[in-house]
Amino acid sequence: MRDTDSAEIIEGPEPPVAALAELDPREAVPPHLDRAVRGEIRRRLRDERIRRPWWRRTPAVAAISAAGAAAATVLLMFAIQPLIGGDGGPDGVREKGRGAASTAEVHLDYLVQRPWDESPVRLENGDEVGVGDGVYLRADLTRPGMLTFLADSPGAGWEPLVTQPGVVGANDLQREGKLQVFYVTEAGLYRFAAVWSSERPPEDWNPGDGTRPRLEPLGDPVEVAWIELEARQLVEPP
Amino acid sequence: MTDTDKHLMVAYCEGDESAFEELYLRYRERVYFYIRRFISREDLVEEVYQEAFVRLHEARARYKPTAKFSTFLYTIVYRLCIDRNRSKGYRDIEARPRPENPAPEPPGHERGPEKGAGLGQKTEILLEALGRLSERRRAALLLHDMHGYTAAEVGEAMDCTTAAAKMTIFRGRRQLREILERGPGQEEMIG
Repeated sequence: MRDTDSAEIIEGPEPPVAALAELDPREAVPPHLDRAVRGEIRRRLRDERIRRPWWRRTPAVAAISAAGAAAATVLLMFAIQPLIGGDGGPDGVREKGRGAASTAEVHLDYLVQRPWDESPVRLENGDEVGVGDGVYLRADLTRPGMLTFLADSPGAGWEPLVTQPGVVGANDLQREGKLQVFYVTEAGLYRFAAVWSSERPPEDWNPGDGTRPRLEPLGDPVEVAWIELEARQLVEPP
Repeated sequence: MTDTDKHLMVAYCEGDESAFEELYLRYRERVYFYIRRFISREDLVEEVYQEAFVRLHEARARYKPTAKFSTFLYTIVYRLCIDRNRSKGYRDIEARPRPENPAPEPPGHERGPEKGAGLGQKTEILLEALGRLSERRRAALLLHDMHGYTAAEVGEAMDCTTAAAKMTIFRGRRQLREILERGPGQEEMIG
């Protein structure tokens, strides 16, 4: 670029080009277009707010829930300690079709994706899936709208995880389309996230910003793993 | 305006509807004016205008508060205009005439008295000449000479270096001057 070019940029254009600066670079937006744009963005913002987990809707609730989740995690660690047997049993589905059948109206179909699996495991009602450390989950799909997992380890028996602290209940599941179960082992923190609708993209499986959750291990873990469960709801016409 | 633009954008990123409203009110007329300098078909102008704000919404997570909001916005709008013209196989080389029945001004958003009143014919001539420039030069002059952006900001919005932006501005001005001196309709568009 020549020096004169730069000089004009700095000093500004000469007439008649200088008249450009006198023009008002604004033009009224047609009202129907104005309404359409504002309506669309408002709708999107509200949709996002609805999809956002309830504890992230307001900063205050998010802060409280973050503190609460940390406390609940510690409590849960002690609460389910007896469940953790660590017998080294096989992972994967160990029994199919156990438990009551799903209702005629609603069928729930779960896919379990574990970090060490190459392909997700399809989980039907009553199936039990090993998640490591000798702990198994059993899907209880007998109540539409309610996703229940039972944890089992040798000698401890089955206990419903949904009754543990920090778990989002059935109503939240229905409204948010998500269920989170925090499950702590000596090895670290397991996170189970269930998504209600298969229409949601994977980035929506986790709450908030679309990224996978950062799992903060407790103590000095040797392993931190997490599992995703995708629930597909197939509602048959009456 | 720009300092609070950033704050509003951050709030908008967090889902604050009123922050979006405020930002929208600040920029809607400028964005509309800008798009109309690129696209002459009314239906396409409306389509691009809507799409611009939808894209802003979708891209807002990428906004960094260190950047100027308006540059972020105009980058989206500029790319959208270019993409739309190319995808439609449509090249808008003529300045659009002023509408015969312009939409009523929203309360509180009337155009400046200038500006408008005394420059009616002059404005039309200028805008028509501006429309004869290539899209790139037109965008550079709009941002730099009308919206008051620095060459660095123009470069950012147009995805080029500051030096390249300066060169585009300079060439745009020179070509615009030639068009204006020769009179409307006497100049072919030069890329």
